[in-house]
Amino acid sequence: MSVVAARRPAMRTDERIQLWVSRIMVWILILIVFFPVWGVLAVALSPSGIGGELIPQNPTIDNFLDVVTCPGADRCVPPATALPGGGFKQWLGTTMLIGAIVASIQVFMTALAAYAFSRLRFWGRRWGIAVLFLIQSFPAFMATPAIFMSLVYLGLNDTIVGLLLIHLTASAFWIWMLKGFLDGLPRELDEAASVDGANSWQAFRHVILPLALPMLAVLFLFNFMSPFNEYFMTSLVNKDPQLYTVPVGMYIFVRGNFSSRYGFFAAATLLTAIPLVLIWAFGQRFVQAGLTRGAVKG
Amino acid sequence: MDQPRDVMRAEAQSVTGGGGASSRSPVAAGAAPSAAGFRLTELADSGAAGARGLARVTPFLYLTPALFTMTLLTFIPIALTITVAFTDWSLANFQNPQFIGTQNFVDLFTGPYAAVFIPTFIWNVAFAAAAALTQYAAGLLIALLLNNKHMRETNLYRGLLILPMAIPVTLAIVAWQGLLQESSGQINNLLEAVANAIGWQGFERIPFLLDDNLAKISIVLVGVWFGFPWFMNMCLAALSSIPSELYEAAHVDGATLWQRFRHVTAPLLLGFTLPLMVASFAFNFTNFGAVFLLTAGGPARVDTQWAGNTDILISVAYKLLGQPLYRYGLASSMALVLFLIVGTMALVQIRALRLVDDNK
Repeated sequence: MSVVAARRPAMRTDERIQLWVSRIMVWILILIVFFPVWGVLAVALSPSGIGGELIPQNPTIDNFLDVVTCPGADRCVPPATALPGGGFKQWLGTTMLIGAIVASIQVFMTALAAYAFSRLRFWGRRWGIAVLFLIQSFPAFMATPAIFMSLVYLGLNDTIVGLLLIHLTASAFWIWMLKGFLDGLPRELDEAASVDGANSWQAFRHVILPLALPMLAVLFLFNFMSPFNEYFMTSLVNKDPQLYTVPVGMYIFVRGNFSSRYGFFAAATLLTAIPLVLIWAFGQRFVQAGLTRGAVKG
Repeated sequence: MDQPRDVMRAEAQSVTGGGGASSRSPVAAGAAPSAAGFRLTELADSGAAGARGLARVTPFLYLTPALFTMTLLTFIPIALTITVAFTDWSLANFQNPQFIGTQNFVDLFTGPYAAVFIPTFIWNVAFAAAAALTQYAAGLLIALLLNNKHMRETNLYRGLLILPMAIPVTLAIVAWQGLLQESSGQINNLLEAVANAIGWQGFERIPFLLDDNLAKISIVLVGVWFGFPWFMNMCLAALSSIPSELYEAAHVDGATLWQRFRHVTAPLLLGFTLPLMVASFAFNFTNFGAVFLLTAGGPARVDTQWAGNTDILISVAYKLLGQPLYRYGLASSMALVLFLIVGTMALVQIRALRLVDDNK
C-alpha cells in the first residue's frame, strides 16, 4: 500500500473521469444528507414561535440558551420554565450515565460469551447462537408490558436500576459478530499463553481482550446509543421526572405544543447530537476495522 | 484448515467422547505439554485432580451473565406474552382473564379485526420490502462511489456520511416530522425557493404527511436517510475484501465500468447482500418508531379507528394495547403472528450467515 502510494502511478484518463464524476456525486449526496441538519439548525436559530425559514432573517441563539439554562435561570419564560425534571442538562447527564453503564456491562457480557463460543467447548456450542438469535427475533417491543409488569413486581419501576435493566439484554447478534472477530484471531496466541501456564481467564483477559479492542469499541458505541434511541419502554418504566432521559424529557415537553416548541426541540436535538457525532467521528475507524473483520470473514 | 487446529480437534473429540481417559489425564494433571506442543485451553484451567468437572463448568461461567440477562429480560417476557396471546385479557376482565384457546387468532383473520389486519399486513410487507431495497441501494451506490483507490479523501466522506447513525433516532424522527410539515416545513421551504428561482408559478406546498400515498413515500424516504450509513459501512467492508487485481485484470481485458460491476463486483457481493437484506426486512417489518413517531399511523382511514393508512402491524398492536380497550390478549396474538414471520426471516439469516457453527 505505502509502496504503491510512494510511486503513485499516473491515473489513466478514464480513471480520472471516474474519480471526478464520483466526487461530484458524493458531494451532492453529502449536501442532500446534510440538508435536514441545516433545516433543523435554521429552525433552532429562528425566534421561538416561528416555524422556520430556509435562511433565518433574524437569527438568535435564544433557543440554545433556553436549552442550556432553563428552567432555572432568570431569563427563562414559559414554556421553558415548565421543563420537567431539571431540564435538558440533567436529561443529558442521566442519558449519558445510563449509556456508559449499559455499554460497559454489555461489552463485558458479550466478550465473555463470544470468547466461550469461539474458544471453549461445551454442550450446545454449535447451535447456541442460532437458537438464541431465533428467540430474539421475537418483536421485543411487544414484550414491553410483560417486562414492565415484572419490574413493577420487583419494585424496580421509577428507579435507575429499572432504566438500566431494559437495555441490558445480551444480544445474540453481537455475540455472533464478536465471535466472528475472535475466530479471526490466530489461535496460536492463546495456545502459546496456555503453554506458558495461563488459564482460560488469563488468556481471555491478557491475550484476547486487548486484540479485540476495535470490535469492543464498536460494541460500546452502539450500546452507548441505546438510551438515546429508546423512548417507549423508558417512558413506561419510569415516571419520575428526576430520571428522565433526553428523548423522554423532550417528547413530553413538545407533546401537544409541537409548533410552538419546535425551535427549542431543534436546538436541543443539535446539542444532543454534537457530543455523539464527535464520539462517532472518533470511533468511525474502529467501526470500519471492526465491521470489516466481524462481518466479512476470510 | 491448519495443522494445530486439527490436532486440537482430535484432542477435543477424545475428551468430550469420554473414551480417551488415559490421553487426557496427563494434560489435566499439569504435566509437561503434550508431544504436539498444544494443550486444550479449558484443560489448562485445571492443573489439579478433580478439575475435570471445573473444565466442564468453565464455559458456562463465561456464558452466565449473557444467559442470565437474556432469560430475565427476553425469555421470560416472551413466554408471558405468548401465554397471554391465548387469553381474553383486557380492561373488561382485567382481574379474571380466561384461556380462550385460539379465539384471538380467529378474530384477527376472520372477525371484525380482519378489516384492520389484512390491509395493514399488505402495507407492512410493502413497507419493509421498500425500506430494505432503497436503504440497501443507497448504501451500495455510495459505497461503490467511495471504493475508489484514487479517492484519497474517502475517509472524510465516510465520516460525514455516517452522521445519521450518530443522531438519536427518536429525536431525528420528530425533527423530520417538523421538516415535512406542509405550511412551515423546511423541505417545502426549499422546494418553494427552487420553484421561485426557476420561475415556476404553479408550485403548491406539498402535504407530505397528510396525503395517504405521500405519507407512505415519506416514511420510506426518511428510512433511507436513517438506514443507508449502516449499509454503506457493510458494503464498503465487503468491497474492501475484493482483491484489486481482479479489477486490473478486467481492465486489461477491456471491460467497461458496467462490465466490471456486473462480472466482478456483483457476483462477489451477492452472497453478502442477501443476509443483509433479510435482516433489514425483518428489522423494518417491526420498525415501530419509524412509523409511529413520524405519522402516528395517520392519515386516518375512514373504515376503521384501529389503523391509519401508514400503520404497520406492530403499531396497530400498540394501539390495541392502549386506551380505551386494553386488548392485551389480542395484541399479544398479533405479536405471535409477527414472530412467525420475523422468525422465518431469522431462519433464513441463520442459514445464510452460517450462525450454526459447522467449523468443528
